[in-house]
Amino acid sequence: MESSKLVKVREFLSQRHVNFLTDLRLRASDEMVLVYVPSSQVGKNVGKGKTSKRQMARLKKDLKKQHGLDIEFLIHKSKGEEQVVTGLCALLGKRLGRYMGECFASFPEEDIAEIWVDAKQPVLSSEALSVEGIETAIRDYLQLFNIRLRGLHVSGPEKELPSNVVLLRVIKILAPAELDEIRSKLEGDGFDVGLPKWLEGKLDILRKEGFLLRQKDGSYVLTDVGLRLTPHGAFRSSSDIERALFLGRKKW
Amino acid sequence: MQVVGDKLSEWAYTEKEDRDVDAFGRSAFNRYYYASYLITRQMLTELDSRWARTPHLNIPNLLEKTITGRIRKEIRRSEKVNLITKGAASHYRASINTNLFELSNLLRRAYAVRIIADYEPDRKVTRDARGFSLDIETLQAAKNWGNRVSLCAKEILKVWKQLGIV
Repeated sequence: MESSKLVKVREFLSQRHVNFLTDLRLRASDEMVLVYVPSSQVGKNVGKGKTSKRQMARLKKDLKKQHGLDIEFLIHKSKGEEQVVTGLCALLGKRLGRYMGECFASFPEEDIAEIWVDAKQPVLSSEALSVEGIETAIRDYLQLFNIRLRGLHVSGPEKELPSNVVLLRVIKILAPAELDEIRSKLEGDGFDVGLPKWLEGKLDILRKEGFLLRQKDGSYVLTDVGLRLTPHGAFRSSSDIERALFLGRKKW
Repeated sequence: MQVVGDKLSEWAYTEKEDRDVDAFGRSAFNRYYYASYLITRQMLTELDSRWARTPHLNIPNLLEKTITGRIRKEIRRSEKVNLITKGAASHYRASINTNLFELSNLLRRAYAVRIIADYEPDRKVTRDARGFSLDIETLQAAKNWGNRVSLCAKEILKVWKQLGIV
């Protein structure tokens, strides 16, 4: 006999004209109702046997509020999608050879793909190995299935240049900060600091916009505006706390 | 955890008795879930150590609500004062949406299977052309949960760092 919870959830979903799920199960250990949804049924908008992230969130909330029932949506790939991914990973494996790590895909909507590729090479220099090269290959392949590539996440040991926010934060912590100190703090935090003149140029732009000042001795400090705009909070990792710790360590 | 899972699934593949295949197979699913959980917890510690103690079942919601909200707020703020460009803001937003959603959905599925593996012995590991499966998950896919979680976590931390929150 089906449990009364499952019956209730089923009734509720059918009242809401929900017909996108493949299966419905009650998890005995915590009385959670699990709703299995193939990703091919998830669209940007609701309609014609399709649901959306937003609708799922609303159904979950309403069921809890109106009936006190907990449900969880589990989105899974369809068989066809799995085959597409297998082919794609084989293609990339062939292209990247020993630089190929892992390859995954997610289909947030039926005809849209997000791809993750873990490449084991710091700078993908040659054309066949470049991010652009990989992206073109993926696009061409997906097009055969009428799937559009929305996001490609190539992650490797490659470091990123710091954003303006990061620069302000570092100067706030170290102020008054010499160029070399800023550079080594950024490197220590895992950022790429670019070509020799990159950092100076960037700081100069921020100075002209009024976020920071360059003092006579060449060190940098934040302006009142810069200080106000730098993220801070009650977190342990907050810039206020890191600043205090830095001052504590500094020998006067 | 990952290596334990790999060893258990190797054993499952070489076992002849259905009963033993099931025993090794379901334990492998359990270990693969824990591998994913531990990577996620490490990420949570780096984001804000208070989040590291979140109970397993609540982690997907924490990711989708609290953490997504916190990051979106920071993006909005930085964009408003022209500290980051519109382009960068929309790039961060897209990356956060995708990676947090992917991670939370993966954890929900992995947790669901882990519960079956541990508490519902009547539901057995089955074998077909795709290899071993429990519920809707294949052991082959479970083996890769950890890698997927790592990739998502890396992207989330990257955005978090660029926004100057850490």
